[in-house]
Amino acid sequence: MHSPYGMELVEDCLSCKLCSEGFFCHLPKSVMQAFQPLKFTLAYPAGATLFVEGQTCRGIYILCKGRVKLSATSKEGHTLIFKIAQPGEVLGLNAAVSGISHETTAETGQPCQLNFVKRDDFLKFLTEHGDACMHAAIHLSRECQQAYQHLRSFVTTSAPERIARLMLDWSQDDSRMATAHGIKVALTHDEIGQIIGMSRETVTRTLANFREQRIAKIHGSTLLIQNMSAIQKLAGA
Amino acid sequence: MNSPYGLPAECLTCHLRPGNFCCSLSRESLEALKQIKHATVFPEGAVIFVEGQLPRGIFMLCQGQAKLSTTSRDGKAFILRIATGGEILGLDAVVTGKPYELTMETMQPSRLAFVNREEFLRFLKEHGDACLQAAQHISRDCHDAYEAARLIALSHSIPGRVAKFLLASATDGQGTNGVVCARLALTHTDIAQLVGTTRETITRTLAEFRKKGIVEIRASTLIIHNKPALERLVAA
Repeated sequence: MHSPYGMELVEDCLSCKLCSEGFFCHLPKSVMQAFQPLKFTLAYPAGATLFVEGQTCRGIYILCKGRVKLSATSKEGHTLIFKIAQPGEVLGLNAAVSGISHETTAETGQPCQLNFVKRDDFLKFLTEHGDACMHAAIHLSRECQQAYQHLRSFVTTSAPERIARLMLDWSQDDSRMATAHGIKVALTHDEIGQIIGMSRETVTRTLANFREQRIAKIHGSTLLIQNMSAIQKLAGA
Repeated sequence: MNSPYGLPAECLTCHLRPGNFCCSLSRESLEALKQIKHATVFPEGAVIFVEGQLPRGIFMLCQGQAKLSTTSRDGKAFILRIATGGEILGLDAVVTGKPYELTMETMQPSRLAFVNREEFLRFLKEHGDACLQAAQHISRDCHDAYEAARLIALSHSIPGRVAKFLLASATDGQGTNGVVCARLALTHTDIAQLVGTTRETITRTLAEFRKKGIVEIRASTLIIHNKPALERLVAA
C-alpha cells in the first residue's frame, strides 16, 4: 500500500504493534473493541498544527508515531515549549476532560500518525469504561507532574543546571547509548532555549562550555554525553 | 456537636458542599467514601505533606486554606497556588504512586478528610463517576500548573505579574464606584513566592502602585482604585 510520508498507517488498534506498556491505548481487549469505532486514524506532515492555545477543545489526539511539540506563546512573542510529546501520549486530554480551552499549541515535528477521537465520544467512553477512565487519570497525573517539574526548573536560575537536567531527561531511556554512541536530539538551540526558558545565546554559550570541558557535545542532531557524572552533579541528581 | 474551630465534621450532612469533587458525587459514592475517609482538623501552619515524600493518601480540603509550594535546590520557594475548600490534594501522586511533587501547608485552621491510597484507588475503580471527577480534578490542576509556568517563563515584567495576580485575587471582590475591595490575607513574602520574585521587589512594586493611586493594601484588605491601569499593566 502506498502510504503518505513513507509511513505505514496502522488502522486497527486491536492488532497494532506500536502500542506498548504505558500507552494510553494499552487497554483490555473488550475496552479496545469499544474504542475502535470511535477513532479516526490520521496522518500529518511535519509542521502541521493540531490545535492552538485558546481554542475550544474538539477532541483528543493519541500520538501513535512521530513527535509533537507542545508550546505556549506570550503577547511579546516569546515561546515556551512545555514538552515534546512521544508516541503513546494523548494530546489535548487535559482540555477534553476539563472542558477548558487548550492551554498549549500542538505542532508536529515529524510526519505523525494520530488517532483522533471527538470530545463527546471520548467522555462517553470514559464514563462507560472504568479502566479507560483510570488510564486517563494516570495519564493526566503524569502530565501534571511533568508540569510541576518544569515549573520547579524555572525557579532555579543557573543555565548549566537546567541544560544538564534536560540532557539527563533525554538520556533517561537509554543512558548507555547516550554515553557510548549518542542519542538523537532533533532540536535547534532556539528550541532548547524555549524548553528551559532561556535565550538562544545562553544555550549556545553553555553548550560551548560543555564541549570545552568535555562534558557533552551536540554534533548535528546527535547528543553524546562524555562525562555522565559531571552532568549528574550539575543537575543535582 | 462541638467541633474544634467551629467546623462541621460530617460529609453527608455537610452544609459546605461547594461544587467540587466529592461534594458533587452521587449519594452512593458518597456513602462509600464516608466509610474510608478520616476527618481531621489541623491548626494554621501545619505541614500536611512534603514534596519528595511517598504518597500515603489524598487529603480533601473541606474547609480552610492551604498553600501548595515547591522548593528549588537552592532553597527558593515558589507557591503554585492557594487551595480552598472543596479541593483534593495529592491526587496526582496517589494515582501514579510517585512521590508528592508539592508541599502542602495550611494557612488557616482547616478541616481535612484523609483517605488511604489503596482504599482510594479501589474506590475509584469501583465508582465510575468518582473516577471521572478525579480525572477532571487532575486536569484542572494541570491547567493551573501550565498557567503558573506561563506566568513565570513568559511574562518578564514584575509589575505585570503583580498586576495579574492582584486582578485574579479581586475577582470575587465587591466594587463600588469603580473601587474594588477584596480580602487578601497574604504577606509580601507569600505574594513574592506566588509570582516568582523576591519579597523586596514586591514591597517596592506595591509601594509604587500605591504612590500612583492604582492599588492599596490595608491590613488584609486589597483596595483597587484604578482597575483599568492594572489591566493595562497586564497587557503590556
